[in-house]
Amino acid sequence: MSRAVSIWPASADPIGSTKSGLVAAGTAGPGWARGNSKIVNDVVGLIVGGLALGCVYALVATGVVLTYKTSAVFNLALGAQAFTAAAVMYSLRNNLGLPLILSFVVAVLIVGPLLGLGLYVTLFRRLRNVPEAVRLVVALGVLILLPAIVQALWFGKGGNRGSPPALVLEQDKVYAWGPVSIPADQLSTILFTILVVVGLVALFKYTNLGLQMRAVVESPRMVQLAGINADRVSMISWMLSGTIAALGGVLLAPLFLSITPSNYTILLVAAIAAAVFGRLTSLPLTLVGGLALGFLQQALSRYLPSDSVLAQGLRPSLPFVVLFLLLLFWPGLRDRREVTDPLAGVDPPASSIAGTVRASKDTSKVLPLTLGTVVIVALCLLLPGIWMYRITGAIVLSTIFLSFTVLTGMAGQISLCQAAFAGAGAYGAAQLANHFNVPIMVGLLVGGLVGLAVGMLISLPTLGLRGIYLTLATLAFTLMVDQIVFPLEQVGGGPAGLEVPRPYWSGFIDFSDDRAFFLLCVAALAVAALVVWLVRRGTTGRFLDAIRGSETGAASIGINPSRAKITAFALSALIAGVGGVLLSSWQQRTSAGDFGVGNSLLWALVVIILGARTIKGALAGGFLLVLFPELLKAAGIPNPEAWQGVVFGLGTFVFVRHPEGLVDAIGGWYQRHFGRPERTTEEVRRIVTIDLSEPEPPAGNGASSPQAPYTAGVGPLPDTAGAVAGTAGGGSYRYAQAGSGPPQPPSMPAPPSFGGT
Amino acid sequence: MSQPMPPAPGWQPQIPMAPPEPQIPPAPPVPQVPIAPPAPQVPMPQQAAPADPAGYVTAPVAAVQPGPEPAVPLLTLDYVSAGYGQFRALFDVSFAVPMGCAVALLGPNGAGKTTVARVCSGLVQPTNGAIYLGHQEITGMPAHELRRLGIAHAPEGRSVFASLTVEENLLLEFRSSLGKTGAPAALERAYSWFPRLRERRNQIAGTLSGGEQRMLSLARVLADLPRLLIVDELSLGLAPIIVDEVFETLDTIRSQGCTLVVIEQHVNKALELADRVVILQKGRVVYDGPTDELGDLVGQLIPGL
Amino acid sequence: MPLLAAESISKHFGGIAALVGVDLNVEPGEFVGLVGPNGAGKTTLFNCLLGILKPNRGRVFFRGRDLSRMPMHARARLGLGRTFQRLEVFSGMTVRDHFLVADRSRRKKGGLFGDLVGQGTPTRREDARAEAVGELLGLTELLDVPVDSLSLGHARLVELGRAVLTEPKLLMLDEPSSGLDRVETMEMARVLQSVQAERGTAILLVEHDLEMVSLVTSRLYVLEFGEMLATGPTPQVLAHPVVRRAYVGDVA
Ligand SMILES: Nc1ncnc2c1ncn2[C@@H]1O[C@H](COP(=O)(O)OP(=O)(O)OP(=O)(O)O)[C@@H](O)[C@H]1O
Ligand SMILES: Nc1ncnc2c1ncn2[C@@H]1O[C@H](COP(=O)(O)OP(=O)(O)OP(=O)(O)O)[C@@H](O)[C@H]1O
Ligand SMILES: [Mg+2]
Ligand SMILES: [Mg+2]
Repeated sequence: MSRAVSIWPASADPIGSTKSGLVAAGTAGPGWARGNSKIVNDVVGLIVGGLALGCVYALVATGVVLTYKTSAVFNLALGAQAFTAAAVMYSLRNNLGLPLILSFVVAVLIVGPLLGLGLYVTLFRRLRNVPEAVRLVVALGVLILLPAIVQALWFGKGGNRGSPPALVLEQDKVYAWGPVSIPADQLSTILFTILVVVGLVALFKYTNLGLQMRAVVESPRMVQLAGINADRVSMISWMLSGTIAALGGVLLAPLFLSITPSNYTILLVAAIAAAVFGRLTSLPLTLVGGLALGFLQQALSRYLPSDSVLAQGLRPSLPFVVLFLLLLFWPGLRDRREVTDPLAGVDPPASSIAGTVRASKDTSKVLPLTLGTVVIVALCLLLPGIWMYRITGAIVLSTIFLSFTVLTGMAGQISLCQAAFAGAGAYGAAQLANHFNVPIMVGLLVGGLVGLAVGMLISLPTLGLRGIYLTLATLAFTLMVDQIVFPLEQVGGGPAGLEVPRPYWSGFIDFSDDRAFFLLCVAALAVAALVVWLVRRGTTGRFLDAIRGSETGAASIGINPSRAKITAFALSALIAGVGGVLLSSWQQRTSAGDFGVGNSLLWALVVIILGARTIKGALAGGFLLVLFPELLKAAGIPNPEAWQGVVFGLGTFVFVRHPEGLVDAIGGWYQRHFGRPERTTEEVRRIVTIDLSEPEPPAGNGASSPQAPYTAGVGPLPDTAGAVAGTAGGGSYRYAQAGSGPPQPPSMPAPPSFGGT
Repeated sequence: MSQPMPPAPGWQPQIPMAPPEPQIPPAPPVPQVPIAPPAPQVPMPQQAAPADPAGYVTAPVAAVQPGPEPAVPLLTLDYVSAGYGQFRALFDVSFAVPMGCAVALLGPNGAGKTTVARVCSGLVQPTNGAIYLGHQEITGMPAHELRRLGIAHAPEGRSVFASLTVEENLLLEFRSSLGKTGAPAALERAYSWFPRLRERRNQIAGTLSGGEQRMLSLARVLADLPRLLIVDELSLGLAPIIVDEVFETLDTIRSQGCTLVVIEQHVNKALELADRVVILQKGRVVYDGPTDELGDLVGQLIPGL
Repeated sequence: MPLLAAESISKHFGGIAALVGVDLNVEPGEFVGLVGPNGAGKTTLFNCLLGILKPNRGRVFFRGRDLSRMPMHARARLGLGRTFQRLEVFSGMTVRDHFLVADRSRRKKGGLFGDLVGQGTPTRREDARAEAVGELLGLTELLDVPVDSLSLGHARLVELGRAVLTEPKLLMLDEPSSGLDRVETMEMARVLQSVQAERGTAILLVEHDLEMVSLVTSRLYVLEFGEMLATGPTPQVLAHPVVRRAYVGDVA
């Protein structure tokens, strides 16, 4: 079992790691609303503390809204950008001892915008014409990549030297007005936030640049047609959002004891909730959302007894719960159309993340494929035990990954809660086995059904949500399940986890042996793959294709979009549930984090990068994820987890060029260079064109006659005739025809030139 | 909407027509255009100098010179081929658009008219051949630079920024081409041509009706008075009464010195307006000449008329 | 009983009254036109009839049933087919797939279970039907081309073919000829007439091309500023001075 990349804490209470539970208490730390027992001070402290915390949320949320509004990227990477800036700041200030202002300038005003610019230039610039979902995956990749790079390269090795620096001139100073006292760092947070929000509102409201930024997101080409350098506008907006994220990161740092990526992911989720409150467009609403969340969190931690179950579950999870509820109930999020570029047709259609690979009627490959599989499986049985064990794991993961093939590859939905489906299945089966002695064989079925139930549970209330909002709902759902439900004793067996036996049933069926279990997993994978294959080439697959293309259009021919989507979710969750049971049975136990958010994100990233459209992609994902860390370990690379993150994150750079997935891309490349030429659509089209492009004489004209009267008759016109007409046979017009030889060039020499932008 | 449309109060042609001061450079071989033919050039009465505050014309495209010979065409396509990915849509297309003329670009569906328009405005880069604006080769220049040289393109279909308001759509264009000072006048002009847009100035453009969106995308480029205006599928989705008005407007701005390339399915209307016709078929030019010499060829070249 | 009866439909968008108490009837097998200046509310009316928009007031009856609470796909299944002014093609799919999907949807065939027992792949009959429609619309050469790379006019034909394949009782077309050249417009008129004649489909046509309208429609509605201005036999309505002033413009 691979470990998740460390963007999410394995501990159940992520905010438990804050400085003296600062978010929880708001009274400790260097002056966070230093309270005394008086009610007034209590309330004031609450307000001040909530204000400062809310401001940080709002600040990062502003960055989220800004990037979304100006580049249609839902930039999950902002969390990573914030982390990186904070890490730079910390290193400069605490490790190198540079002055505060200098560190600030470097971390926020140089590293921040440069990171944003870099992301745009290397990744997002290419992604203008792809569906929102693709951009989201890329952002997800960066979210995993950036912290991994920072940690692999330099940060976190040198040990901590003091708490992260606050952005104040005098540490620990407190400004007081009557009963109100504000520590300097909180004051600076509040001031910075006000500055940023007011500045941005003014930018969008009053300046031409703001207008251009809002326009460029819709269609860079149309912006260019208006005479504006669209690229420059995009660059500016990325630099701006990078700066804001960096500022948020640096301001947030002192709230925590240490600077870890996971803290910033939590910050990100809270910021997302605030941004959703602003419907990803309104900055003032976003600010309100951030502040409200800050207050709420302060109030909860203050007034709920800190040892109550509710508080322990709810307090750290508040942002996710709020996010989920917002997505379900906040009006204005549903039935939103993705704004499309009217000039998208200028580019040849991009390959997409999802897509039905059309069934060819060619069955000649079925037999060799089956035989090959049997042979490989047989060979695997000869492997030494440890490798067989690992390969079994790869196969189990591949099975789970097929659930992405259904949901992402066919329905085009990016789901970040597949691990939750798998976990639901696994825990369901395990609890049954432990408490009621239900054999795991039956549990396999039960697990699938539990997964399916959970799939329906999430898909029904989110039916109207599209694209990014649906993905966020799945993210919030995973977070809630991971933080609140799975840690429960009755579900996940608490910190100890659960024992999960191998499938065994009173002597009849016995898969406890590694080899037997391996065969069982192969069979499960084969069945799942067959189901996916059939569905994809069948009616359901086609309907999902159609709905992805245009939901309105699909409904107009009588397809029920809701039904098709629920089907996809249910099928996907079913597969994931069964896979989850197998996974836990393979490990023979469950442990915290198996089905957590970290894995959810990582799985989604790996599968989609490798190719969510095909079964091959899922297989490749399973094997890569299990075997790659082993290889790293075998190669003796230190800090393998960070490096794993780096490598998978770097995959996004390939993905940007090949949204159809790496496996397909390699396949296509192989096909082009070595394969039997297969007629792609592109080629069919070219052939059609060649037929068409035979120039024909105009209808009704004999082949011989038309040219003469038109070239000879008329003399040059006195004024308007242009250079072309002037040289073409002395006539004032040209009448080109097939076989009439190359028309004369116009008066200007024509150097061969190629457009290249 | 009443017609004919009177010129708006703030009517001030923004094309550099007459220089504000007599500071026209007389340099005969235009220095920055080495490929220019040394052939003598003609006065282009409506064409001159860097007169625009917004840096509209960065260089005199053709210097004014005495001489009786025909002008260098404003736009020349020289053996242009272009395509999408591996698909080739244009095959050695050559034609010229004389200064101050209206050229109708006709042809059946899929002939490549839109592609020609896109090539001219820099949206699609030719794979072969060259394009000239006056003497200046503009092959390979990005669309926004071409716009600054005065080539405006109204793409086919609903080419508006759906999430901006009507007025923001207009301002975006006018501010970048005419500067903050020129924008209000252009806005006024646009509204006087399309009063409907004035009524809806604060409506989100994406919620306009199809025809209203079309009006908006036309207003954006018309009121700008560019040097060369390329309109794709001019009357697409417009009610007949509006189509007539738009054609009148086009006539007006041509008389102000704006050169037009019009792609249009209402062939008769287009021929009424145009001085020259270019007919495309399957990616090739099959006719290029003055309208009045088209005669009954038109029936053969454009079936269904 | 009329096939479709819309009764005093009203629709406001904020302060804008897009439709004000509009009545409209279509008899079975009838070819009706709906014209009006830009922004008169034609598309809005279509959207209300099909359930994309909810009218503020008024009701829609189709084949004697009240559609008010029906979602769009259910209305489509009852026999309302339409094309869109702003294309709603399935991007990424080929022309053939568009037709196959429409055919499947009409026959209500398949579903998850059918797929699992291997009934998913298109049969030869289905393929033949798709190809027949392709031929009817002159798209034979383009059947395997992804719609994204079609020119605007061809993409409209694909939408038409998709709607025709669902064999609707009433076909509602929103500016089907915009973007088509003369030949293809006349060709489309011919196709529409043959669909109406051979399949008995009623057609409601929104169109700005008056030549086509007067060629194919027998009855005409004129909408202006959200109100029904006139209705009657096409030639008379088109000749009426009020209509000419509001919509046609000068008598050319
Ligand atoms: N993005 C694209 N990818 C691939 N092929 C394209 C693309 N856009 C257009 N084509 C093809 O290029 C050819 C020329 O298209 P173009 O849009 O220029 O034709 P057109 O003359 O404007 O037709 P219409 O009158 O229908 O608008 C057509 O065969 C079309 O299918
Ligand atoms: N969502 C909306 N919000 C505000 N106004 C709207 C909305 N949708 C439509 N309108 C307005 O309602 C009016 C009717 O629009 P509709 O699209 O029905 O016109 P139409 O008759 O189809 O015109 P066209 O011939 O130009 O397509 C238009 O003025 C339009 O601006
Ligand atoms: Mg076109
Ligand atoms: Mg309409």
